[in-house]
Amino acid sequence: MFLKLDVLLKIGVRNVARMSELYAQSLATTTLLEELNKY
Amino acid sequence: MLTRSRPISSEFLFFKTMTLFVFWVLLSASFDWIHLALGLACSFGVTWLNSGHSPFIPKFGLWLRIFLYLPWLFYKIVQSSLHLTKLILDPALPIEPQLISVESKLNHHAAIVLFGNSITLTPGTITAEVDHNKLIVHAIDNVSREDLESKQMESKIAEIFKDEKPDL
Repeated sequence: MFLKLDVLLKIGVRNVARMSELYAQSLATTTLLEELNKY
Repeated sequence: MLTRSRPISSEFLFFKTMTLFVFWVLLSASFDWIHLALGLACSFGVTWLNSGHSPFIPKFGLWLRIFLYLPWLFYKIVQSSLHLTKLILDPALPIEPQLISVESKLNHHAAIVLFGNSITLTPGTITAEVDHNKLIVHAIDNVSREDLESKQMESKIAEIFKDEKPDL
């Protein structure tokens, strides 16, 4: 199946945004858990 | 607050700033004064912040071994980039992001720094935190995690630092 380049680009941009969002979320959760562990 | 373990000479500051500045010019390829001035200021800032914090000065043999490690690291970077590209361009986004705790056998702080940075440079894995020889690494999927857990990178770095006195 040949995808058009612009479709591929849109998928790529969406996926990178999603991955960054997930990374930020997991980092925030870990930091929060670490802080909570102190108390 | 900056703490410096060893004094930094002005010659060293100048040399390091100029090296970074040349790299800036190569990457930016802009020769207007605002870019050049900004590049010079950033190069100096980075040099100033990143000098003299470690009392460790690598000897020639170690530099050579690190230099010989770079082609392998470059190969891993290309390999992981291709894997990550496949993941990114897949509409289903088949990722399994995870934070894993890695306890390293490396016993030299410079080795840990090299290890942490090598992990971060390899696409798909990021060193989120380092505490002595424990690293918290974010892996994008199981392939990236298994690659890290294979300890291949760690053993290569251990080989580089085999003659150094442990300091961790």
